[in-house]
Amino acid sequence: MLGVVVARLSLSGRRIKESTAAFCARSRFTVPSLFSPGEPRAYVRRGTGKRAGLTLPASCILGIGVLSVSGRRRRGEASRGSSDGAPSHGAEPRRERTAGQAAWRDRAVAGAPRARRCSELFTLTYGALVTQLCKDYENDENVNKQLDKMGYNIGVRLVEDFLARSNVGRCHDFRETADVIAKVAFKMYLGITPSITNWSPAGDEFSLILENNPLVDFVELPDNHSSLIYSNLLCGVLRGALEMVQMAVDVKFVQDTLKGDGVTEIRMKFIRRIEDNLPVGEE
Amino acid sequence: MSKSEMADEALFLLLHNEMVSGLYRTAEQGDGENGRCITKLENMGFRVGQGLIERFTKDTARFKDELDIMKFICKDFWTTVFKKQIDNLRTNHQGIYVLQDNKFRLLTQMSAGKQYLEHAPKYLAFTCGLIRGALSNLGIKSIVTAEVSTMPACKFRFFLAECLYFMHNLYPEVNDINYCYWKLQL
Repeated sequence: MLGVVVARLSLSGRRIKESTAAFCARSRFTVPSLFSPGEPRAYVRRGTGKRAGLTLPASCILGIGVLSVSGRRRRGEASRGSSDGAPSHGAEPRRERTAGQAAWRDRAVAGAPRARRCSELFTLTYGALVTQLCKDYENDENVNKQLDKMGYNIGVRLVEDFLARSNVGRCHDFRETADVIAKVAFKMYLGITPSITNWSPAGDEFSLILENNPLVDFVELPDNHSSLIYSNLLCGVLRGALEMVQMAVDVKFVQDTLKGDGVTEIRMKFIRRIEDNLPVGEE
Repeated sequence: MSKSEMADEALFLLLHNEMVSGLYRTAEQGDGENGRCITKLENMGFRVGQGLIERFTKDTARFKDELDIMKFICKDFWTTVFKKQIDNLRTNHQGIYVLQDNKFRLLTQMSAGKQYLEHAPKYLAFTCGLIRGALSNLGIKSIVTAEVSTMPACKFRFFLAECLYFMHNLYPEVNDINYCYWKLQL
């Protein structure tokens, strides 16, 4: 039976302080200080509308020669109110969910065209990155590894930003972690809420099902790159982020819409809890 | 600015910084073609800029002239991409424009002053390409360069088409963009 997993998300914990300092030194990044005192009482508007599907004009074929990019009608995002199943645990997770929803709702209301364009900027930048990597590395496996490594580096930094913005408390087990990832983190950064399914009997593996993956909005895989995992960055991000909160996980793609499957499925498996190692000399 | 907008920005910022460092890491481990990294970043920005500008201007009216296009870039384009407007636009009305941004978003997290100044150009290459791509899909051929004297303020210089013809006479071998940068000593 899986024991209770305590993820030390407490920001006063020493481990987190060290990693913040190390992270600042490493990346010359200053963590935005966004400790908001109170949780906004968000009130989710249901049915705030799907985004209009847009068809890219044919002229917007970014002629790259490696990955062909073609316009595809974007499926309207799932209405924002529908991300809640009946919660099986108490009030705290509901507050976390509304934090993610509030962040997304504010963004959608404040500047819907702009919000969409920001995600387009990210999508297009990611596409350019993958294209460049495909040119640099001949082998698809190497590209996948490189994307995973880059994702890991991003995840290590992103988790600090996430904790600063979302104020979620400690997660007491892997199920809660899964909830926070799907309902708060994905919502906040990518604007989608994947669903959590396929729990293993031991409770240490689950699947995230993404109906529409914003990273692959304008993308088609050509035939000679059939083993390329296009969104592998996400795996690295999840792995890096969870490692910073003392959880070693294994993340991989099981299904991918780019390869013809109906949905995108990411399988996450908890491996072990990473123990704090005191630095040598400090006892 | 709401937290949610900053969430996007954080994501793009992290991706951009990781792209820069990833490319340089690859170059170090590979055959050490360091000079090509800036070009690669610029080309990536070019493709992204081309795509972005088509999405943004889908519903806007036709632009009257070059100055109109530059104002669009300074206001709407910059606001959408970097959440703020350009602080200062100067031109000589003969094809050279200088855009000044006193708090460039991709550099604010790095330093405020002269520290790490020598690393700044790699973080500006993508944006230069972005603008060049945007202009190219609006029908303007240009060269965009950037200069930083004090972080996080930076200046983007655009040399638009007619200026390029002039320079083409001075430097007839100008075809490669890198060669342009070198020749212009920017």
